[in-house]
Amino acid sequence: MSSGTSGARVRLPIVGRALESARVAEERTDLDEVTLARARRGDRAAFRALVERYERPVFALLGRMLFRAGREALVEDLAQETFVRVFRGLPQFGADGRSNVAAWILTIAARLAIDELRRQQPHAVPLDAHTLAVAAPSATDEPSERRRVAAAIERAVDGLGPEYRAAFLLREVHDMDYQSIAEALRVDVGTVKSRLSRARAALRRALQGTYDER
Amino acid sequence: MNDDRKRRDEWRGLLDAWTAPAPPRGFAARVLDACELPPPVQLSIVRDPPPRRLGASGLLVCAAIAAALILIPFALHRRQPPVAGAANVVTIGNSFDLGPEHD
Repeated sequence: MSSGTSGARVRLPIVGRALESARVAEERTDLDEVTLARARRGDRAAFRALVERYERPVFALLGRMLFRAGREALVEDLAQETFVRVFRGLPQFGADGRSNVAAWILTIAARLAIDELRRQQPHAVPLDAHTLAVAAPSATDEPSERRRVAAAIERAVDGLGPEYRAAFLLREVHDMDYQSIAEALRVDVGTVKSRLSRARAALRRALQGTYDER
Repeated sequence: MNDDRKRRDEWRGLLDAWTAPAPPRGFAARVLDACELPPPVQLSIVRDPPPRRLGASGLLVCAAIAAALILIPFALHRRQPPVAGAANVVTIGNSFDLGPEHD
């Protein structure tokens, strides 16, 4: 897999520390089969365990898809709608060959977020037409640097269409495989790879701009 | 695939600076409440039947009586056995005595 169309990689001083927390999150195990089976039969405690296991990644995905300020209530509404749909679909889960609960739940959340973004921005500007300007860094302390990186990412992601944004986040943050992303976005694997490549390139340009100016 | 993994770790590290919202306290309980809502009640407007009009009902009664007066005798008549045996039947083909002939 190509890592994008742009040049050198962006290296940030915060990466080493940030990776630790990312790995901690990754090590969380999936819901066990017994609890999942009980949840499918309508067991309230088991379904609660399912929600508590997957609420964090669902909020992370929805929060990053709809990151603008003032959307906290919308994120919570869509997260709740995600789990209501999970609850309704759980008895039939697996009938269509699916076996990855996390991917299924994130697929529901991603589709809800894409629909919401389409409603709000029916005419998204194509990716190539964007000039991804980012603020020049001025301070050197780590918290403000993190904020700057976050701001740069937000600006860059804001320029991505909903499908690009979803593909990027599902792959790079939630570690979904190409096939699952293709099913989630109802496109073929080639389209997923193309969208990922373009999204990465746009983000690289944005982030590189931030650090080249130092 | 080592490069792929390294690249993903790098992106994940960058994205980790971009904090995501955490679920609020009690979110799971609210989800359970939302899932266990009873199905929406089907509302329907029930109206009292309109008062019957006397004229219409009287007409119906008359029609029923008339039908009975016609149909009951007809039915009784059809159920009666044939009245006559062969002896009682007057046949038109008999010759009559017209008396002696006169020239």
